[in-house]
Amino acid sequence: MAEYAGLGLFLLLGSGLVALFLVLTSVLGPKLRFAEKQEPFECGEHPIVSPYQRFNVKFYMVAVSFIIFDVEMVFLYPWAVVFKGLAWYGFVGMLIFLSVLTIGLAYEWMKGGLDWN
Amino acid sequence: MMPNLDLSAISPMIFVAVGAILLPLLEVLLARMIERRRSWLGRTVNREMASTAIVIFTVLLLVLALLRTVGTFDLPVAHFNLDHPMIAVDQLTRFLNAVLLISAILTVLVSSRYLADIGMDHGEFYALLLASLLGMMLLGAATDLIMLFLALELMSIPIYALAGFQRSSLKSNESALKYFIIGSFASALLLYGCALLYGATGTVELAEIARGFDPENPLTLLGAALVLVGFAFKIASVPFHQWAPDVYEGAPTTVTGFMATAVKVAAFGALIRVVAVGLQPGAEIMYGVFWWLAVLSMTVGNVMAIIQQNTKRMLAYSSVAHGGYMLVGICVGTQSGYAGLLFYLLVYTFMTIGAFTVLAILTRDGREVSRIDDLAGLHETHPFAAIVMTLCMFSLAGIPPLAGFWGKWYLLTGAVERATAIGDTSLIVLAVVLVMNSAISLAYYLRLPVVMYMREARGADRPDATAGALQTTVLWVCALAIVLIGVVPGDFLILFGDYDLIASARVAASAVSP
Repeated sequence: MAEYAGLGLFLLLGSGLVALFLVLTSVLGPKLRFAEKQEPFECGEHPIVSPYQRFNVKFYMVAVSFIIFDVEMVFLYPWAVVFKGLAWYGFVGMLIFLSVLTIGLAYEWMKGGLDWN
Repeated sequence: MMPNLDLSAISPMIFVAVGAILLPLLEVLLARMIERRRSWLGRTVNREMASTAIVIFTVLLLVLALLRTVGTFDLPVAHFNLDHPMIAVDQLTRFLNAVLLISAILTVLVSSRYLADIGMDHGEFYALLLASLLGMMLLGAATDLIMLFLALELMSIPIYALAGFQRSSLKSNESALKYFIIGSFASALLLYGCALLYGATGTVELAEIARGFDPENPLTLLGAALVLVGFAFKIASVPFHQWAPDVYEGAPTTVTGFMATAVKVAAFGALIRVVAVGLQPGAEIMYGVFWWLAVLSMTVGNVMAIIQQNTKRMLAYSSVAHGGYMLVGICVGTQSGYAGLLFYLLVYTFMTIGAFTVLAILTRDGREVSRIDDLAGLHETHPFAAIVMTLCMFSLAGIPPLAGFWGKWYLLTGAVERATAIGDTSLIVLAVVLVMNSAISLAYYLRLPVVMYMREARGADRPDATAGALQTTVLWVCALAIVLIGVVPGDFLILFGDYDLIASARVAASAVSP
């Protein structure tokens, strides 16, 4: 049981700190109550709307491009760690992977996928 | 650290991969040349020239890959290893790859004109087709569950996009969405099965799974069952077939032809390898499952096909039924069973692509000839297309001396041989069901020739067919293949040297069968 003492202490401190901040902000913080502000997620958007909304397809293009290059970075980190062991095989393999991605990027660029207007 | 990389063994796959990667780039470069009115060889580049260049590039790569595959058929097995075998390039892989490449080449040749007809002449079509083809080629070669799943996804995802390629058509969109949802569901089931098999046996390698396979362990059985259900979805076998008619109907016709043939070839190839290698110790338990899948697929497919009014839906149910015939080969589970299945896949490819090519040719201004009755009087407007359609229908029904008859013949003899060898009456029952179903299928296969030859074409609705030169070539290839494989089948088929197709199928099957 003793080895869980640290975990229990951590949980206690963590929840205590959160509770403390919640209480402090509700007591000390300045408050202005009006209808708009009482709604959840007040980020300038109305929380209750029809879900069948259209949004610009360009957001999708940006998101997909972002994910592709994000994943590329994730691949590059472990590769960099074992780079010496992989030697030329690893180098050429990553070069092929990167050139495939570059061709994809070139295609997207030339097709106009990166233009916002 | 240096893995065993025999690049020459996988060179056909590399050709296809290079095509899939470079084609989008070629497409945008050509589009830019058109935009800026550049000239090449003294002529201003226009859309037709661009399309021709793309088709030539694609076909060239595919033909190179096919020649390489056929040329290396007799070479010994080559493994493509990282720390354990992931891909086996054996005779089974090479046989499947050859059939897949044939299917892809025929599809590309029909598509160039068809895409222009439906106003969707984009080079991305061929890139997606090649990406999917690469997945299929790897699927048949995968000896590892991870590779199997990756290849399956690489095959499926471009096919979803291809099904929805006709963006302006609601049916095409519906087809893509349905295929995507059902396909992802099937992939998820298969992946869950793979995970359970890994959990039960501690390995992802098929040969090792066979060693650790414990038929008493419920985890193993559940894993095997989920993997089989995943495959059953992909090959559209009853009761996992409901997506097929809608998807086949909505997808662009040439894509439907490719889906009906290549996806089946790849999925059956992988199924053979999984069943014969990885799940071999569970063969007796799975026999009952495959028996019922086969009987249901044959019967439901054929009966439902009779009542269809739409040609593509009819062919979809017919493809479900043919999946059932092929499952008989899996039930037999011997070398001759698998050889019969592989031979059937080859024959089926020619028959089905031929039928869909005729339908693709009849598409004008984006309007498809969808109803069977719309084919009335085709023998007047386009006699050759009518002849090829008739040949395909007779061959699909299994009428001698066409290729389809020999496909069924080898499946039947395989089943009967096995049944006599082990004294099992259930296999005889299966063979009888197959024969009875062939008789049922005549009801709808013969309807097309009747409509085409014995009904008057109706005024403005006359099917107007002017096939492009490439499309006519495909019709010739399919017709010749159906007739030649039928007239000089199997053991005495010596075409272009010594390509004995059924013997090749036997060699391919021997790569995995016990």
